[in-house]
Amino acid sequence: MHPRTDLALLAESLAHLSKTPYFNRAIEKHAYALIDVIKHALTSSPPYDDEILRSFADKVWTCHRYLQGSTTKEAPYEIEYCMRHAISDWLTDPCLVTTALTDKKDFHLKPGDPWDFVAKTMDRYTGQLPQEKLIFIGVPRIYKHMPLFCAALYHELGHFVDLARNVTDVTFLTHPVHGVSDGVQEVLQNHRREHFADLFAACYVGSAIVDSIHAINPHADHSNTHPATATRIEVIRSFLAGEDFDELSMYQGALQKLGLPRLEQRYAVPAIETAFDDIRPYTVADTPELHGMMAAGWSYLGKVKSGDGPQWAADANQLDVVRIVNDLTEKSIRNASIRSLWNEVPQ
Amino acid sequence: MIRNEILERLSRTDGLRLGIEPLLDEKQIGEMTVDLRLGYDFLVSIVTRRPYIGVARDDERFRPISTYFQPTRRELGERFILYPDQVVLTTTLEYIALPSDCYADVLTRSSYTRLGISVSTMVQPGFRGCFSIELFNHGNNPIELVVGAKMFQMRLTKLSDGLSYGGLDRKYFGNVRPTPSRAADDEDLQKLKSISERQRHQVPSEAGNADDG
Repeated sequence: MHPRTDLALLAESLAHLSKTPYFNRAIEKHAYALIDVIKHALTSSPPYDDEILRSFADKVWTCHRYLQGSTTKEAPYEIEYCMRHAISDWLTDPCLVTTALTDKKDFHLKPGDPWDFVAKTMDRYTGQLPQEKLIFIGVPRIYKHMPLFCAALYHELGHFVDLARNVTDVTFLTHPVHGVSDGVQEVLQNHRREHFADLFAACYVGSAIVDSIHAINPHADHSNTHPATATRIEVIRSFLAGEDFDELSMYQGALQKLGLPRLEQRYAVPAIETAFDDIRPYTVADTPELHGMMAAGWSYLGKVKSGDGPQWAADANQLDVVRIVNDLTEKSIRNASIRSLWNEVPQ
Repeated sequence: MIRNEILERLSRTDGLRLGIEPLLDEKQIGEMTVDLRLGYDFLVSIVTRRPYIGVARDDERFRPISTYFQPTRRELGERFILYPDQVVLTTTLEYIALPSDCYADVLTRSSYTRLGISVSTMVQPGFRGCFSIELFNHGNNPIELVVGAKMFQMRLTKLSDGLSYGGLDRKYFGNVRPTPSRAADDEDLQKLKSISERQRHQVPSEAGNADDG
């Protein structure tokens, strides 16, 4: 309740976490740095203003949640692995991805960097701050072994890149909208953000993002925060069909100004049918195929649903089919990660 | 099966194909066996307030068997401690697709048997999935295991006639992570309960007559 008490309690809990067996070294560094800054914040003289401590405590609370999540050893490693590959296309800074399982239908991927705040606001702290940026991923607990249902995280990564590099803000400089109220400006901004995140996701997972959006809310109408589902899907379909349209040119222009990569296909849909029909994982050849597992998996599920699936799925109930296709996708991704780790070390 | 036959099965594309994914090192294929590695998902048995694990679902105090286990994950190369007298469910790192005409015996490699870990299980022809492994430390000391280490070996035996085997009706099919026991799903348990109840409600003389008959 009180920032000083909260910070003291959080420091205790972080110290406890860091003693957990198998605590990840990279995460441990952030935990120790947080403990050190908290110690400084609570003992510094003259004392920091309570409002600064309150904001800092909020940031530590959030960090604590994700550091704890990554320590429970239940995190969906395979999805993290895909996200790490996508993040490296857009951010050159070293990043540390941490994941918390959520108990509601909530996917998110957001920056959680407390270190900017410490550097700017707690300027009397002289210790060394970690260099890696913290990225927080939230995945619904019931989907922890359902990687195909986590395709929406690519959309969240699109938001992350947008906010980190102000892509949408730049579009308002190159393509301003005049003569509308602040409220309408805000709605337009929200919609541009959603379309950008959709297009970003389509670069990695192709039509799987259409399937995801459709599965989440097929008939959603236009709202202040989101364009209508039908509009979103239409924009994505145009992009996937290789069409040139004004909105796409607007984003490409903004990305170019920011020195960021273009929106373009970054996946290759692997031919998983032979393996999945035989209930075996697919051998992923490269990074484009890694991302392409999402599109391939969704397409495979669609084929089974339409009655065009393999013999083993014919008599199975829908949940069994969904589980097996997700399991085979998870194992295909994990095997790719294992092979990569194995081959990185010389024999 | 010997090495040449195993290699030949690995290269086939039909129903007699043997699949081992990932096969990180060809040296895993020996003259008579294939070495398999320790997987990365674990279900660790925990002590609960219930004095025993019940398998009868009709018991009002029944709780799912999965609640007696806690899941945990490791990455390749990370360590896992196996304590004495503790049951830990895990899998092989490799996903195995057995040919329809071969069954597999999965055994602990002798180096680990000598540490007090003994696994011996038979897997049916046509199996698809990571082999389920039940680890138990028979020794006095905790043992540190490494994820990805070659702990097990698979011996393949060819049947004289090919069998068609597979389908979702089997209990543990297509698994990629350890699965708790499904002993409580055994349909015979219901029948056995009926037998038990009938016997309990029979008066002694009826029971005696029945015996006499």
